[in-house]
Amino acid sequence: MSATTLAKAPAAVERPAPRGLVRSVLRLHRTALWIWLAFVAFTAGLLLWLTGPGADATARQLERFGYGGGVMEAAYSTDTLFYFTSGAYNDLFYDPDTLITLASFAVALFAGGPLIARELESGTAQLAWTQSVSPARWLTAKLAVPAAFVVVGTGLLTLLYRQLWSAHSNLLIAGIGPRSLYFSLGPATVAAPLLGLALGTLIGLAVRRTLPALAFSGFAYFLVHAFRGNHWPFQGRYQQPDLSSRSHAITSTGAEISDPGCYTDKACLAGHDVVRFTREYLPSSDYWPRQLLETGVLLALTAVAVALAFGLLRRRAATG
Amino acid sequence: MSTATVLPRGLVRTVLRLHRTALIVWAVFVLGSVGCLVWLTEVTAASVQRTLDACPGNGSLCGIGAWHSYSESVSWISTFMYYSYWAVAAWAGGALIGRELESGTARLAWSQGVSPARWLTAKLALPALALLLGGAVFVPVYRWAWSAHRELMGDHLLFNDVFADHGPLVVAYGLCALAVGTLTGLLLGRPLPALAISVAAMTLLNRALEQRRPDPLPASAFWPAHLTEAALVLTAAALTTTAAFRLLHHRTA
Repeated sequence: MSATTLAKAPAAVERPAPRGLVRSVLRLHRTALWIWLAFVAFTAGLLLWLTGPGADATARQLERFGYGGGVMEAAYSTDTLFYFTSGAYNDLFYDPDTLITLASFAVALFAGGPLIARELESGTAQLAWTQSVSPARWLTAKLAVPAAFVVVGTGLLTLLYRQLWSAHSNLLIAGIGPRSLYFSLGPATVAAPLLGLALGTLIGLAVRRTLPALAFSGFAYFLVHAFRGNHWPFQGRYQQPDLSSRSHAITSTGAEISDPGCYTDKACLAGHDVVRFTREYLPSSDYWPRQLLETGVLLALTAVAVALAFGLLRRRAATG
Repeated sequence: MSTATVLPRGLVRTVLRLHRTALIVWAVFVLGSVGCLVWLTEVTAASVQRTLDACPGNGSLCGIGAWHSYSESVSWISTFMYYSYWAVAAWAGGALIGRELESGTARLAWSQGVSPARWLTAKLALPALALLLGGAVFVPVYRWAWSAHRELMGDHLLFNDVFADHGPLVVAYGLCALAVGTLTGLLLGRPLPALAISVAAMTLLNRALEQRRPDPLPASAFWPAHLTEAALVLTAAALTTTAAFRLLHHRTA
Protein backbone atom coordinates (compact mmCIF):
# COMPACT_ATOMS: atom_id res chain seq x y z
CA MET A 1 0.00 0.00 0.00
CA SER A 2 2.61 2.47 1.10
CA ALA A 3 4.95 1.18 -1.56
CA THR A 4 2.50 2.04 -4.32
CA THR A 5 1.88 5.46 -2.83
CA LEU A 6 5.58 6.07 -2.73
CA ALA A 7 6.01 4.84 -6.25
CA LYS A 8 3.21 7.06 -7.46
CA ALA A 9 4.24 10.21 -5.69
CA PRO A 10 7.02 11.37 -8.06
CA ALA A 11 4.84 10.66 -11.09
CA ALA A 12 2.05 12.77 -9.61
CA VAL A 13 4.45 15.70 -9.34
CA GLU A 14 5.49 15.28 -12.94
CA ARG A 15 2.04 14.80 -14.42
CA PRO A 16 0.16 18.05 -13.81
CA ALA A 17 2.57 19.98 -15.99
CA PRO A 18 1.58 18.43 -19.33
CA ARG A 19 -2.08 18.44 -18.36
CA GLY A 20 -1.85 22.11 -17.45
CA LEU A 21 -0.04 22.75 -20.70
CA VAL A 22 -2.78 21.03 -22.70
CA ARG A 23 -5.38 23.03 -20.83
CA SER A 24 -3.57 26.29 -21.48
CA VAL A 25 -3.30 25.50 -25.21
CA LEU A 26 -7.04 24.76 -25.31
CA ARG A 27 -7.82 27.92 -23.36
CA LEU A 28 -5.59 30.17 -25.44
CA HIS A 29 -7.05 28.92 -28.71
CA ARG A 30 -10.64 28.46 -27.56
CA THR A 31 -12.08 30.55 -30.40
CA ALA A 32 -10.39 28.27 -32.93
CA LEU A 33 -11.58 25.26 -30.94
CA TRP A 34 -15.20 26.41 -31.04
CA ILE A 35 -15.00 27.20 -34.75
CA TRP A 36 -13.56 23.73 -35.40
CA LEU A 37 -16.25 22.01 -33.34
CA ALA A 38 -18.97 24.02 -35.10
CA PHE A 39 -17.50 23.10 -38.49
CA VAL A 40 -17.37 19.38 -37.61
CA ALA A 41 -20.89 19.38 -36.18
CA PHE A 42 -22.36 21.28 -39.13
CA THR A 43 -20.61 19.18 -41.78
CA ALA A 44 -21.48 15.93 -40.00
CA GLY A 45 -25.11 17.07 -39.87
CA LEU A 46 -25.08 17.91 -43.57
CA LEU A 47 -23.56 14.51 -44.41
CA LEU A 48 -26.15 12.68 -42.31
CA TRP A 49 -28.96 14.67 -43.90
CA LEU A 50 -27.62 13.87 -47.38
CA THR A 51 -27.41 10.20 -46.43
CA GLY A 52 -30.94 10.23 -45.03
CA PRO A 53 -33.90 12.47 -45.87
CA GLY A 54 -32.01 14.74 -48.28
CA ALA A 55 -31.64 11.94 -50.82
CA ASP A 56 -35.23 10.69 -50.80
CA ALA A 57 -36.69 12.74 -53.64
CA THR A 58 -33.76 12.17 -56.02
CA ALA A 59 -33.61 8.46 -55.14
CA ARG A 60 -37.31 8.17 -56.03
CA GLN A 61 -36.63 9.94 -59.34
CA LEU A 62 -33.83 7.47 -60.13
CA GLU A 63 -36.04 4.52 -59.29
CA ARG A 64 -38.87 5.76 -61.50
CA PHE A 65 -37.05 7.16 -64.53
CA GLY A 66 -33.46 5.91 -64.44
CA TYR A 67 -30.33 7.99 -65.02
CA GLY A 68 -31.41 10.15 -67.94
CA GLY A 69 -34.95 10.99 -66.85
CA GLY A 70 -34.34 10.88 -63.11
CA VAL A 71 -30.83 11.81 -62.03
CA MET A 72 -30.04 14.24 -64.86
CA GLU A 73 -33.46 15.84 -64.63
CA ALA A 74 -33.11 16.28 -60.87
CA ALA A 75 -29.60 17.71 -61.10
CA TYR A 76 -30.39 20.26 -63.79
CA SER A 77 -33.77 21.18 -62.38
CA THR A 78 -33.91 24.93 -61.88
CA ASP A 79 -36.92 24.69 -59.62
CA THR A 80 -35.54 26.74 -56.75
CA LEU A 81 -38.59 26.04 -54.61
CA PHE A 82 -37.29 22.51 -54.13
CA TYR A 83 -33.65 23.50 -54.19
CA PHE A 84 -32.87 21.93 -50.82
CA THR A 85 -34.92 18.79 -51.26
CA SER A 86 -34.39 17.44 -54.76
CA GLY A 87 -33.28 19.95 -57.37
CA ALA A 88 -29.66 20.36 -56.41
CA TYR A 89 -28.84 17.10 -54.66
CA ASN A 90 -26.01 16.64 -57.14
CA ASP A 91 -24.55 20.01 -56.03
CA LEU A 92 -25.19 19.56 -52.33
CA PHE A 93 -23.36 16.23 -52.43
CA TYR A 94 -20.07 18.06 -53.01
CA ASP A 95 -20.61 20.79 -50.40
CA PRO A 96 -19.07 18.79 -47.53
CA ASP A 97 -15.99 18.32 -49.71
CA THR A 98 -15.74 22.08 -50.21
CA LEU A 99 -16.13 22.63 -46.47
CA ILE A 100 -13.42 20.05 -45.66
CA THR A 101 -11.06 21.72 -48.14
CA LEU A 102 -11.72 25.14 -46.61
CA ALA A 103 -11.16 23.73 -43.14
CA SER A 104 -7.84 22.20 -44.20
CA PHE A 105 -6.72 25.61 -45.43
CA ALA A 106 -7.91 27.12 -42.17
CA VAL A 107 -5.80 24.60 -40.20
CA ALA A 108 -2.65 25.63 -42.09
CA LEU A 109 -3.42 29.34 -41.64
CA PHE A 110 -4.22 28.85 -37.96
CA ALA A 111 -0.95 26.96 -37.38
CA GLY A 112 1.14 29.63 -39.10
CA GLY A 113 -0.65 32.64 -37.56
CA PRO A 114 -2.30 32.42 -34.14
CA LEU A 115 -0.83 29.08 -33.00
CA ILE A 116 2.88 29.86 -33.42
CA ALA A 117 3.85 33.20 -34.97
CA ARG A 118 1.59 35.39 -32.85
CA GLU A 119 2.93 33.75 -29.70
CA LEU A 120 6.50 34.38 -30.80
CA GLU A 121 5.77 37.92 -31.98
CA SER A 122 4.03 38.93 -28.77
CA GLY A 123 6.64 37.19 -26.60
CA THR A 124 4.09 34.91 -24.92
CA ALA A 125 6.04 31.87 -26.09
CA GLN A 126 9.34 33.13 -24.74
CA LEU A 127 7.58 33.91 -21.44
CA ALA A 128 6.19 30.36 -21.30
CA TRP A 129 9.68 28.93 -21.84
CA THR A 130 10.93 30.75 -18.73
CA GLN A 131 8.01 29.34 -16.69
CA SER A 132 9.36 25.76 -16.49
CA VAL A 133 7.79 24.72 -19.79
CA SER A 134 10.66 23.62 -22.01
CA PRO A 135 10.46 24.84 -25.63
CA ALA A 136 10.24 21.25 -26.91
CA ARG A 137 7.31 20.50 -24.62
CA TRP A 138 5.63 23.74 -25.56
CA LEU A 139 5.87 22.84 -29.26
CA THR A 140 4.76 19.26 -28.61
CA ALA A 141 1.59 20.53 -26.93
CA LYS A 142 1.04 23.11 -29.67
CA LEU A 143 1.21 20.36 -32.28
CA ALA A 144 -0.40 17.43 -30.49
CA VAL A 145 -3.57 19.15 -29.29
CA PRO A 146 -4.65 20.56 -32.68
CA ALA A 147 -3.50 17.35 -34.41
CA ALA A 148 -5.78 15.29 -32.16
CA PHE A 149 -8.76 17.49 -33.03
CA VAL A 150 -7.89 17.44 -36.73
CA VAL A 151 -7.55 13.65 -36.84
CA VAL A 152 -10.74 12.96 -34.89
CA GLY A 153 -12.79 15.61 -36.74
CA THR A 154 -11.73 14.93 -40.32
CA GLY A 155 -11.60 11.18 -39.62
CA LEU A 156 -15.24 11.23 -38.53
CA LEU A 157 -16.26 13.33 -41.53
CA THR A 158 -14.38 11.07 -43.94
CA LEU A 159 -16.12 7.99 -42.54
CA LEU A 160 -19.51 9.66 -42.86
CA TYR A 161 -18.65 10.75 -46.40
CA ARG A 162 -17.63 7.21 -47.41
CA GLN A 163 -20.94 6.01 -45.99
CA LEU A 164 -22.80 8.66 -48.00
CA TRP A 165 -20.85 7.59 -51.10
CA SER A 166 -21.85 3.96 -50.77
CA ALA A 167 -25.46 4.91 -50.06
CA HIS A 168 -26.12 7.52 -52.74
CA SER A 169 -23.26 8.03 -55.21
CA ASN A 170 -25.64 6.55 -57.79
CA LEU A 171 -27.53 9.88 -57.69
CA LEU A 172 -24.55 11.83 -59.08
CA ILE A 173 -24.08 13.04 -62.63
CA ALA A 174 -21.27 10.96 -64.12
CA GLY A 175 -17.97 12.63 -64.99
CA ILE A 176 -15.00 14.22 -63.31
CA GLY A 177 -16.98 15.21 -60.18
CA PRO A 178 -17.74 11.74 -58.75
CA ARG A 179 -14.40 10.45 -59.98
CA SER A 180 -12.21 12.99 -58.20
CA LEU A 181 -14.38 12.87 -55.06
CA TYR A 182 -14.13 9.06 -54.93
CA PHE A 183 -10.35 9.04 -55.32
CA SER A 184 -9.73 11.90 -52.86
CA LEU A 185 -11.80 10.60 -49.92
CA GLY A 186 -9.92 8.41 -47.50
CA PRO A 187 -6.92 8.47 -45.16
CA ALA A 188 -5.36 11.19 -47.33
CA THR A 189 -8.28 13.50 -46.42
CA VAL A 190 -7.04 13.28 -42.81
CA ALA A 191 -3.33 13.42 -43.67
CA ALA A 192 -3.57 16.59 -45.78
CA PRO A 193 -4.62 18.97 -42.95
CA LEU A 194 -1.98 17.36 -40.72
CA LEU A 195 0.63 18.37 -43.27
CA GLY A 196 -0.97 21.83 -43.25
CA LEU A 197 -0.57 21.97 -39.47
CA ALA A 198 3.08 20.92 -39.67
CA LEU A 199 3.91 23.32 -42.52
CA GLY A 200 2.14 26.20 -40.78
CA THR A 201 4.08 25.50 -37.58
CA LEU A 202 7.38 25.35 -39.43
CA ILE A 203 6.63 28.60 -41.25
CA GLY A 204 5.44 30.29 -38.04
CA LEU A 205 8.71 29.37 -36.32
CA ALA A 206 10.76 30.50 -39.30
CA VAL A 207 9.01 33.83 -39.94
CA ARG A 208 7.95 34.75 -36.36
CA ARG A 209 5.54 37.46 -37.57
CA THR A 210 1.81 36.75 -37.64
CA LEU A 211 0.63 38.19 -40.93
CA PRO A 212 3.57 37.17 -43.16
CA ALA A 213 3.47 33.67 -41.61
CA LEU A 214 -0.22 33.51 -42.40
CA ALA A 215 0.39 34.44 -46.03
CA PHE A 216 3.24 31.93 -46.46
CA SER A 217 1.25 29.14 -44.80
CA GLY A 218 -1.69 29.80 -47.10
CA PHE A 219 0.60 29.63 -50.12
CA ALA A 220 2.32 26.46 -48.86
CA TYR A 221 -0.98 24.72 -48.33
CA PHE A 222 -2.19 25.89 -51.71
CA LEU A 223 0.76 23.99 -53.22
CA VAL A 224 -0.14 20.88 -51.21
CA HIS A 225 -3.72 21.18 -52.39
CA ALA A 226 -2.72 21.70 -56.01
CA PHE A 227 -0.46 18.63 -55.94
CA ARG A 228 -3.27 16.46 -54.61
CA GLY A 229 -5.94 15.01 -56.90
CA ASN A 230 -5.21 15.03 -60.59
CA HIS A 231 -2.00 16.97 -60.20
CA TRP A 232 -0.13 14.59 -57.93
CA PRO A 233 3.39 14.51 -59.42
CA PHE A 234 4.03 10.82 -58.71
CA GLN A 235 1.07 10.01 -60.93
CA GLY A 236 2.45 12.07 -63.77
CA ARG A 237 0.39 11.53 -66.86
CA TYR A 238 -1.23 8.60 -65.08
CA GLN A 239 -4.60 10.26 -64.56
CA GLN A 240 -7.40 8.96 -62.40
CA PRO A 241 -9.16 6.17 -64.30
CA ASP A 242 -12.83 6.48 -65.13
CA LEU A 243 -15.24 5.07 -62.60
CA SER A 244 -17.43 2.39 -64.06
CA SER A 245 -21.11 2.40 -63.21
CA ARG A 246 -23.79 -0.19 -63.81
CA SER A 247 -27.38 0.72 -64.66
CA HIS A 248 -30.33 -1.56 -65.13
CA ALA A 249 -34.02 -1.29 -65.76
CA ILE A 250 -36.07 -3.95 -63.97
CA THR A 251 -39.24 -5.38 -65.48
CA SER A 252 -42.32 -6.66 -63.65
CA THR A 253 -40.95 -10.21 -63.92
CA GLY A 254 -37.76 -9.08 -62.14
CA ALA A 255 -35.62 -9.38 -65.27
CA GLU A 256 -32.77 -6.83 -65.67
CA ILE A 257 -32.77 -5.16 -69.05
CA SER A 258 -30.78 -2.18 -70.33
CA ASP A 259 -32.29 1.29 -70.10
CA PRO A 260 -34.89 1.55 -72.93
CA GLY A 261 -34.24 5.31 -73.19
CA CYS A 262 -37.77 6.41 -72.42
CA TYR A 263 -36.65 9.47 -70.42
CA THR A 264 -39.77 10.53 -68.45
CA ASP A 265 -42.29 9.04 -70.87
CA LYS A 266 -44.53 6.85 -68.67
CA ALA A 267 -46.35 5.19 -71.59
CA CYS A 268 -43.00 4.20 -73.10
CA LEU A 269 -41.84 2.79 -69.73
CA ALA A 270 -45.10 0.82 -69.42
CA GLY A 271 -44.63 -0.43 -72.99
CA HIS A 272 -41.22 -1.84 -72.06
CA ASP A 273 -42.73 -3.23 -68.85
CA VAL A 274 -40.16 -1.31 -66.73
CA VAL A 275 -41.14 -1.02 -63.07
CA ARG A 276 -37.95 0.45 -61.62
CA PHE A 277 -34.32 1.38 -62.29
CA THR A 278 -31.10 0.68 -60.39
CA ARG A 279 -27.67 2.24 -60.75
CA GLU A 280 -24.40 1.93 -58.87
CA TYR A 281 -20.74 2.92 -59.10
CA LEU A 282 -18.37 -0.03 -59.01
CA PRO A 283 -15.39 0.17 -56.67
CA SER A 284 -12.08 0.71 -58.44
CA SER A 285 -9.05 -1.50 -57.78
CA ASP A 286 -6.97 1.68 -58.17
CA TYR A 287 -8.49 3.24 -55.07
CA TRP A 288 -6.30 1.78 -52.30
CA PRO A 289 -2.94 1.98 -54.11
CA ARG A 290 -3.59 5.65 -54.84
CA GLN A 291 -4.92 6.51 -51.39
CA LEU A 292 -2.07 4.74 -49.61
CA LEU A 293 0.59 6.27 -51.84
CA GLU A 294 -0.85 9.72 -51.33
CA THR A 295 -1.28 9.24 -47.57
CA GLY A 296 2.25 7.89 -47.27
CA VAL A 297 3.75 10.87 -49.08
CA LEU A 298 1.67 13.37 -47.09
CA LEU A 299 2.63 11.78 -43.76
CA ALA A 300 6.29 11.57 -44.72
CA LEU A 301 6.29 15.27 -45.61
CA THR A 302 4.51 15.97 -42.31
CA ALA A 303 7.23 14.11 -40.41
CA VAL A 304 9.94 16.08 -42.23
CA ALA A 305 8.21 19.39 -41.48
CA VAL A 306 7.78 18.49 -37.78
CA ALA A 307 11.44 17.44 -37.51
CA LEU A 308 12.55 20.71 -39.13
CA ALA A 309 10.25 22.65 -36.79
CA PHE A 310 11.82 21.05 -33.69
CA GLY A 311 15.31 21.66 -35.09
CA LEU A 312 14.49 25.30 -35.76
CA LEU A 313 12.93 25.67 -32.31
CA ARG A 314 16.11 24.43 -30.64
CA ARG A 315 18.05 27.13 -32.47
CA ARG A 316 15.44 29.80 -31.62
CA ALA A 317 15.37 28.87 -27.94
CA ALA A 318 19.17 28.85 -27.75
CA THR A 319 19.56 32.27 -29.34
CA GLY A 320 16.53 33.73 -27.55
CA MET B 1 -0.67 67.08 -58.27
CA SER B 2 -4.06 66.75 -56.58
CA THR B 3 -2.64 64.01 -54.35
CA ALA B 4 -0.08 66.48 -53.08
CA THR B 5 -2.75 68.99 -52.07
CA VAL B 6 -5.02 66.48 -50.31
CA LEU B 7 -2.26 64.36 -48.86
CA PRO B 8 0.99 65.72 -47.51
CA ARG B 9 3.99 64.15 -49.19
CA GLY B 10 5.31 62.87 -45.87
CA LEU B 11 2.13 60.88 -45.23
CA VAL B 12 2.29 59.36 -48.70
CA ARG B 13 5.90 58.36 -48.11
CA THR B 14 5.07 56.87 -44.69
CA VAL B 15 2.27 54.72 -46.06
CA LEU B 16 4.43 53.55 -48.96
CA ARG B 17 7.30 52.75 -46.62
CA LEU B 18 5.16 50.92 -44.06
CA HIS B 19 3.51 48.74 -46.69
CA ARG B 20 6.43 48.38 -49.10
CA THR B 21 6.39 44.57 -48.85
CA ALA B 22 2.78 44.47 -50.01
CA LEU B 23 3.54 46.93 -52.81
CA ILE B 24 6.50 44.85 -53.98
CA VAL B 25 4.48 41.62 -53.85
CA TRP B 26 1.69 43.21 -55.88
CA ALA B 27 4.10 44.64 -58.47
CA VAL B 28 5.93 41.32 -58.83
CA PHE B 29 2.61 39.48 -59.11
CA VAL B 30 1.20 41.78 -61.81
CA LEU B 31 4.42 42.05 -63.82
CA GLY B 32 5.11 38.33 -63.42
CA SER B 33 1.61 37.46 -64.67
CA VAL B 34 1.95 39.80 -67.62
CA GLY B 35 5.42 38.45 -68.44
CA CYS B 36 4.18 34.86 -68.27
CA LEU B 37 1.24 35.68 -70.54
CA VAL B 38 3.51 37.26 -73.15
CA TRP B 39 5.92 34.30 -72.97
CA LEU B 40 3.09 31.76 -73.22
CA THR B 41 1.50 33.53 -76.17
CA GLU B 42 4.65 34.29 -78.12
CA VAL B 43 6.90 31.32 -77.33
CA THR B 44 5.04 28.39 -75.72
CA ALA B 45 2.04 28.50 -78.05
CA ALA B 46 4.26 28.26 -81.13
CA SER B 47 6.11 25.24 -79.76
CA VAL B 48 2.84 23.55 -78.76
CA GLN B 49 1.60 24.19 -82.28
CA ARG B 50 4.75 22.55 -83.72
CA THR B 51 4.26 19.51 -81.46
CA LEU B 52 0.63 19.20 -82.57
CA ASP B 53 1.57 19.61 -86.24
CA ALA B 54 4.07 16.76 -85.90
CA CYS B 55 1.34 14.45 -84.60
CA PRO B 56 -0.31 11.93 -86.91
CA GLY B 57 -3.76 13.26 -87.77
CA ASN B 58 -5.73 10.32 -86.41
CA GLY B 59 -7.25 11.93 -83.35
CA SER B 60 -4.89 10.24 -80.90
CA LEU B 61 -3.86 11.83 -77.60
CA CYS B 62 -0.53 12.88 -79.14
CA GLY B 63 0.54 16.35 -78.00
CA ILE B 64 -2.06 16.58 -75.26
CA GLY B 65 0.65 17.13 -72.63
CA ALA B 66 2.08 20.13 -74.46
CA TRP B 67 -1.37 21.50 -75.16
CA HIS B 68 -2.33 21.04 -71.53
CA SER B 69 0.76 22.85 -70.22
CA TYR B 70 -0.18 25.91 -72.28
CA SER B 71 -3.90 26.10 -71.49
CA GLU B 72 -3.40 25.21 -67.83
CA SER B 73 -0.85 28.00 -67.32
CA VAL B 74 -3.05 30.66 -68.91
CA SER B 75 -5.98 29.46 -66.76
CA TRP B 76 -3.92 29.61 -63.56
CA ILE B 77 -2.88 33.19 -64.24
CA SER B 78 -6.44 34.30 -64.84
CA THR B 79 -7.66 32.42 -61.74
CA PHE B 80 -4.96 33.96 -59.55
CA MET B 81 -5.78 37.47 -60.77
CA TYR B 82 -9.51 36.95 -60.25
CA TYR B 83 -9.06 35.74 -56.68
CA SER B 84 -6.41 38.33 -55.83
CA TYR B 85 -9.30 40.17 -54.15
CA TRP B 86 -8.97 37.60 -51.33
CA ALA B 87 -5.39 38.71 -50.74
CA VAL B 88 -6.46 42.37 -50.92
CA ALA B 89 -9.29 41.86 -48.41
CA ALA B 90 -7.02 39.92 -46.04
CA TRP B 91 -4.25 42.47 -46.31
CA ALA B 92 -6.54 45.49 -45.87
CA GLY B 93 -8.29 43.99 -42.83
CA GLY B 94 -5.09 42.62 -41.34
CA ALA B 95 -1.96 44.58 -42.17
CA LEU B 96 -3.33 47.91 -43.46
CA ILE B 97 -5.80 48.69 -40.67
CA GLY B 98 -6.21 45.97 -38.02
CA ARG B 99 -2.54 45.69 -37.08
CA GLU B 100 -2.10 49.47 -36.97
CA LEU B 101 -5.04 49.84 -34.59
CA GLU B 102 -4.01 46.94 -32.37
CA SER B 103 -0.40 48.07 -32.05
CA GLY B 104 -1.42 51.68 -31.45
CA THR B 105 0.59 52.97 -34.43
CA ALA B 106 -2.56 54.55 -35.85
CA ARG B 107 -3.32 56.51 -32.68
CA LEU B 108 0.29 57.62 -32.53
CA ALA B 109 0.00 58.96 -36.09
CA TRP B 110 -3.22 60.82 -35.24
CA SER B 111 -1.45 62.52 -32.34
CA GLN B 112 1.38 63.64 -34.67
CA GLY B 113 -0.64 66.15 -36.64
CA VAL B 114 -2.12 63.71 -39.16
CA SER B 115 -5.90 63.91 -38.86
CA PRO B 116 -7.67 60.52 -38.78
CA ALA B 117 -9.58 61.33 -41.99
CA ARG B 118 -6.35 62.14 -43.83
CA TRP B 119 -4.70 59.03 -42.44
CA LEU B 120 -7.56 56.89 -43.76
CA THR B 121 -7.56 58.74 -47.10
CA ALA B 122 -3.88 57.93 -47.58
CA LYS B 123 -4.41 54.34 -46.44
CA LEU B 124 -7.14 53.91 -49.05
CA ALA B 125 -5.94 56.08 -51.93
CA LEU B 126 -2.47 54.62 -52.39
CA PRO B 127 -3.51 50.94 -52.46
CA ALA B 128 -6.45 51.90 -54.72
CA LEU B 129 -4.00 53.56 -57.09
CA ALA B 130 -1.82 50.43 -57.07
CA LEU B 131 -4.86 48.26 -57.82
CA LEU B 132 -5.94 50.54 -60.69
CA LEU B 133 -2.46 50.57 -62.20
CA GLY B 134 -2.18 46.81 -61.86
CA GLY B 135 -5.52 46.32 -63.60
CA ALA B 136 -4.62 48.80 -66.33
CA VAL B 137 -1.49 46.76 -67.11
CA PHE B 138 -3.00 43.30 -66.70
CA VAL B 139 -6.40 43.53 -68.42
CA PRO B 140 -5.24 44.60 -71.92
CA VAL B 141 -2.43 42.02 -71.96
CA TYR B 142 -4.77 39.30 -70.73
CA ARG B 143 -7.40 40.14 -73.36
CA TRP B 144 -4.75 39.98 -76.07
CA ALA B 145 -3.27 36.67 -74.78
CA TRP B 146 -6.68 35.09 -74.24
CA SER B 147 -7.83 35.72 -77.79
CA ALA B 148 -4.50 34.91 -79.46
CA HIS B 149 -4.71 31.08 -79.52
CA ARG B 150 -8.33 30.15 -78.96
CA GLU B 151 -7.80 26.74 -80.61
CA LEU B 152 -5.35 25.79 -77.84
CA MET B 153 -7.63 26.81 -74.98
CA GLY B 154 -10.52 24.88 -73.46
CA ASP B 155 -12.12 27.77 -71.59
CA HIS B 156 -14.99 30.09 -72.32
CA LEU B 157 -15.74 33.79 -71.88
CA LEU B 158 -18.35 32.87 -69.25
CA PHE B 159 -15.94 31.07 -66.91
CA ASN B 160 -16.04 33.07 -63.70
CA ASP B 161 -12.43 34.26 -63.81
CA VAL B 162 -12.31 34.82 -67.58
CA PHE B 163 -15.52 36.88 -67.41
CA ALA B 164 -14.11 39.23 -64.76
CA ASP B 165 -10.56 39.48 -66.12
CA HIS B 166 -11.85 40.82 -69.42
CA GLY B 167 -12.52 44.31 -68.12
CA PRO B 168 -12.82 46.67 -65.15
CA LEU B 169 -14.72 44.11 -63.06
CA VAL B 170 -11.52 42.50 -61.78
CA VAL B 171 -10.31 45.93 -60.56
CA ALA B 172 -13.72 46.65 -59.03
CA TYR B 173 -13.44 43.49 -56.91
CA GLY B 174 -10.00 44.57 -55.71
CA LEU B 175 -11.26 48.05 -54.75
CA CYS B 176 -14.29 46.60 -52.98
CA ALA B 177 -12.05 44.18 -51.07
CA LEU B 178 -9.89 47.12 -50.00
CA ALA B 179 -12.95 48.98 -48.70
CA VAL B 180 -14.44 45.94 -46.96
CA GLY B 181 -11.11 45.05 -45.33
CA THR B 182 -10.74 48.64 -44.13
CA LEU B 183 -14.23 48.74 -42.62
CA THR B 184 -13.87 45.40 -40.81
CA GLY B 185 -10.40 46.39 -39.63
CA LEU B 186 -11.81 49.61 -38.16
CA LEU B 187 -14.79 47.80 -36.65
CA LEU B 188 -12.81 45.01 -34.99
CA GLY B 189 -9.46 46.65 -34.36
CA ARG B 190 -7.69 43.26 -34.38
CA PRO B 191 -5.90 41.91 -37.43
CA LEU B 192 -6.78 38.20 -37.44
CA PRO B 193 -10.56 38.42 -36.92
CA ALA B 194 -10.71 41.36 -39.35
CA LEU B 195 -8.78 39.36 -41.93
CA ALA B 196 -11.06 36.34 -41.62
CA ILE B 197 -14.29 38.32 -41.71
CA SER B 198 -13.34 40.56 -44.62
CA VAL B 199 -12.33 37.54 -46.74
CA ALA B 200 -15.60 35.79 -45.83
CA ALA B 201 -17.69 38.88 -46.61
CA MET B 202 -16.01 39.39 -49.99
CA THR B 203 -16.46 35.72 -50.87
CA LEU B 204 -20.16 35.93 -50.09
CA LEU B 205 -20.55 39.07 -52.21
CA ASN B 206 -18.61 37.47 -55.07
CA ARG B 207 -20.63 34.23 -54.95
CA ALA B 208 -23.92 36.13 -54.83
CA LEU B 209 -22.98 38.20 -57.89
CA GLU B 210 -21.67 35.15 -59.76
CA GLN B 211 -25.08 33.54 -59.26
CA ARG B 212 -26.79 36.31 -61.14
CA ARG B 213 -24.47 36.18 -64.18
CA PRO B 214 -26.30 34.99 -67.31
CA ASP B 215 -25.81 31.35 -68.36
CA PRO B 216 -25.91 31.46 -72.17
CA LEU B 217 -24.55 34.75 -73.42
CA PRO B 218 -24.26 36.12 -76.93
CA ALA B 219 -21.03 38.07 -77.46
CA SER B 220 -22.96 41.34 -77.75
CA ALA B 221 -24.39 40.88 -74.24
CA PHE B 222 -20.97 40.56 -72.60
CA TRP B 223 -20.32 44.24 -71.91
CA PRO B 224 -23.75 45.07 -70.40
CA ALA B 225 -23.45 42.08 -68.05
CA HIS B 226 -19.82 42.84 -67.20
CA LEU B 227 -20.33 46.55 -66.60
CA THR B 228 -23.53 46.06 -64.57
CA GLU B 229 -21.69 43.77 -62.20
CA ALA B 230 -18.74 46.19 -62.03
CA ALA B 231 -21.17 49.02 -61.19
CA LEU B 232 -22.73 46.94 -58.41
CA VAL B 233 -19.36 46.06 -56.93
CA LEU B 234 -18.17 49.68 -57.10
CA THR B 235 -21.39 50.84 -55.41
CA ALA B 236 -20.72 48.37 -52.61
CA ALA B 237 -17.15 49.70 -52.40
CA ALA B 238 -18.37 53.32 -52.22
CA LEU B 239 -20.93 52.55 -49.51
CA THR B 240 -18.38 50.63 -47.48
CA THR B 241 -15.83 53.44 -47.79
CA THR B 242 -18.40 55.99 -46.63
CA ALA B 243 -19.24 53.78 -43.67
CA ALA B 244 -15.54 53.48 -42.83
CA PHE B 245 -15.04 57.26 -42.77
CA ARG B 246 -18.21 57.73 -40.69
CA LEU B 247 -17.06 55.09 -38.22
CA LEU B 248 -13.61 56.61 -37.91
CA HIS B 249 -15.13 60.06 -37.36
CA HIS B 250 -17.35 58.70 -34.56
CA ARG B 251 -14.48 56.83 -32.95
CA THR B 252 -12.09 59.76 -32.92
CA ALA B 253 -14.54 62.61 -32.29
